Amino acid sequence: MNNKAAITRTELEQRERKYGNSLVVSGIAVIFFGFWSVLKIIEEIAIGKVDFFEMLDLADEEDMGIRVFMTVFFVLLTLAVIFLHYRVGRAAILVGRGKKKKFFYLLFAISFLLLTVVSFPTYINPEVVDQDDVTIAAFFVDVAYCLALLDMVVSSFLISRARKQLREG
Amino acid sequence: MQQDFHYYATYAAAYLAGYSHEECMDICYSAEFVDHCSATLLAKIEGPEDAATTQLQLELMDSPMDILGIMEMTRIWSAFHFLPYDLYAEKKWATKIYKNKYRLICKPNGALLAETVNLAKGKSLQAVGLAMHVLADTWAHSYFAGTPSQVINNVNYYFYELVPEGDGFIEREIRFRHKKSTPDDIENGLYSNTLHRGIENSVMNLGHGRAGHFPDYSFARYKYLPAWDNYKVVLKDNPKDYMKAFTQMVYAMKYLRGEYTSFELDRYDTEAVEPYESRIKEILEKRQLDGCADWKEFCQELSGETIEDFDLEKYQDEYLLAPKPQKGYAFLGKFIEAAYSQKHMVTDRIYKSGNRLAGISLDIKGKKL
Repeated sequence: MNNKAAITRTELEQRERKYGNSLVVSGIAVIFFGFWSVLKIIEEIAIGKVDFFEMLDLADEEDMGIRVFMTVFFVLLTLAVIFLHYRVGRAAILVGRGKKKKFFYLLFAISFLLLTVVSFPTYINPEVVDQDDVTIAAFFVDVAYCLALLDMVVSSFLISRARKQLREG
Repeated sequence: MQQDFHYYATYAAAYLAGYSHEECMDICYSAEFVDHCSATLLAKIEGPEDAATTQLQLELMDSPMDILGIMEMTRIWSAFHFLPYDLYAEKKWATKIYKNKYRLICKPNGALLAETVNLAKGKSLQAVGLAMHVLADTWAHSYFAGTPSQVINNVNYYFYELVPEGDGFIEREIRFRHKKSTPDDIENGLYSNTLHRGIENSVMNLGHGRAGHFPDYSFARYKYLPAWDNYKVVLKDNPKDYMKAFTQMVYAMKYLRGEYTSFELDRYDTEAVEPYESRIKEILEKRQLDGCADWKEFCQELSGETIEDFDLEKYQDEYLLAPKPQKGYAFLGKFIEAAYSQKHMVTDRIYKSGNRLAGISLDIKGKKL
């Protein structure tokens, strides 16, 4: 291997480590944001800002069975959200550290990104939600969440390319 | 580095440099004492607390993390344990705040090392010992800085030990956990380190805390990503570096004894060490948490004398009970004077380089002990 190729390989390895580190960081961020997205709702219920059954459109529902069912469903959904974020984040961490090769988690990462971006108009539509300090803070957190997901997606492609180039020598 | 090198190896190096047994004991005691001379100890012996050459864990925990606290920390750790290599180093796109910390990175054979050794010329044996401690630490603590900084001193999951196997090495991932109650597990690659704090100036990010005690083990060969090096891998070979530290100490002490007219950087007395090289190499490469017993045995064979174990309280009463005008002549009084000189010199150089992380340089002229 001549000097120029050796330098290029070293740079490639440097980049691969850099993108790997980005994946690890964004993976950790996604896991935390998973908890945040659930905590956001629970906090609003806890402080009385949002009524739980009103949120589930069950304010007028008198059937206790339906209420219980929907409550259980909500809890399971909450756990599913946390679990999905955990799986996506963990997969990104493992790929970043070179311990996993599959990029299936990207499907979910891109879905989360799109869903979050699509929800942004609700922040700026005063007819949909009351705007206050908490809403503004939540907006910025969601922006950070989107950036973490975007970083995850971009780093995944870049690391895949860098590793391929390294394999090809 | 730890006691096995600072105390016993320094004794051996001093002996090979031509000092007598008694002189070697004074030198090696002083070298080791640098790791114990805290403000707490100085307060106990009614000594000047600003002569401290180290900070205990509890002192660090109690230390304010405001600018004054950081300055005091930087003064101590940069002067005695993480001697900066290049106070004028440049880094592309770096802000002044970043460069101030980047310029405190420790590496061997920097300009300050020559000043450190020259500072001990014509001075007490305590000054020689202190200089040898600083010299030795530049090898073990390379690539870390004596200021609390996450962007300089942090390490991440990419930390691999090169474990000897057959004629080569295998890479084994090092796992760090914060658990001081259990000793480091060499066999399983499990070592204790400081907690991760996301705060830039957290005391957890001081020196090589994020890599725990691992860089101080003489057997350690490892590769990792220093936070400051843009994802470049650094390979550290402690057995080789410690041997260089040892041979450099022999050369430095020969200079201090007057055998040479000047001290040159990057010069090692391999000739004097050559008859004992394989023995020293064996000790350095032995995978053990503490090499004191092996080094002690070597030193006793070398000099034919009995080397007493390091006793922290050996000279404390002498200093405590000495009348104030006489304290400067006590063993610890001479050590304190050497500490002041070293601290002043390093702080002054850092200050004059335009870096305020170590505060304003202290003027010790006329200061009475």
